[in-house]
Amino acid sequence: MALRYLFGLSTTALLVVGLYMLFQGEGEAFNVGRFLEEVSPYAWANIGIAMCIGCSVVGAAWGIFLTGSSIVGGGVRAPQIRTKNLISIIFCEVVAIYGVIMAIIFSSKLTPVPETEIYTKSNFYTGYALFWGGITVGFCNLICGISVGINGSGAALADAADGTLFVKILVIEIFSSVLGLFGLIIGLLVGGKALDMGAA
Amino acid sequence: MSARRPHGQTYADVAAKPTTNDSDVTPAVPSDVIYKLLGFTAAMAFLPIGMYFLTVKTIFSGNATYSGITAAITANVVLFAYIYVAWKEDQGDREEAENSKSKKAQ
Repeated sequence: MALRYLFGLSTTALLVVGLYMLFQGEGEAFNVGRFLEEVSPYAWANIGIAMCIGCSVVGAAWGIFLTGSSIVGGGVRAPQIRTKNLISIIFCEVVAIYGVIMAIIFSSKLTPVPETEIYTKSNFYTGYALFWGGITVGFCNLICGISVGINGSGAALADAADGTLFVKILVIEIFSSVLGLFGLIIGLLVGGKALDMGAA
Repeated sequence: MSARRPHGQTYADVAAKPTTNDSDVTPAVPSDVIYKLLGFTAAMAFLPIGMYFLTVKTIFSGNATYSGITAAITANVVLFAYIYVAWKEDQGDREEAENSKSKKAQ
């Protein structure tokens, strides 16, 4: 309900301001091209890096939250927690590490540039590449973390019921953890083409 | 309220009472399991990033992509090392359980 109020309020405010500017002869202020030209490439790059590490950590945390609650619940049936029960936790950690690696690689492309040399073709490309590359990696790892978490939660419960199921379920969990690797590869390819800021 | 239960027992006492004589009294999470998890968590946090910074200037001379691939491979090596350790431990547990079972049967 609060969301609906917020949505209505922001839409009305935007409409009022937009119509005011339009009727005052300032309608050209709504210029998408000028917005894209004026936003600094550094802003795009840094938002991309933030989305990369942020979404990856959210995915990993979500996975550990799903898995951990199931391990604790399954512990009622099989109180002995062994190393194999905690494999899913390490799987989720890998997802977060992918995000950290990609954020480090992306941020290595950011170097200080004098104010007059920011708006070049190469810098715009680097900014957009890091933005969309970061979003790719972040969302791949977010979904991968959730997938590993749900798999791991099922694995924990199945293992509590029958200890011999462990290896069979592990194979499926490996498949879902590979999904994050796909995002990492594409992020590397997209980021690899971008030159360092101010290099060209 | 407590008068309903015989001999002043609480519900917890009744639930905690072992039904059989060979109940499991070992701790739920053995310390070696915790140390393994902590060790591999530390390795997972530091090894890939360490490999990145180790190789980026020396081996790949500033090419971040190749050292990123190295870091990702290192993360997967740590992951599969943990799976291997867990698999070995599972095998050991299974053999132990079978041995104790056959001893009881004799």
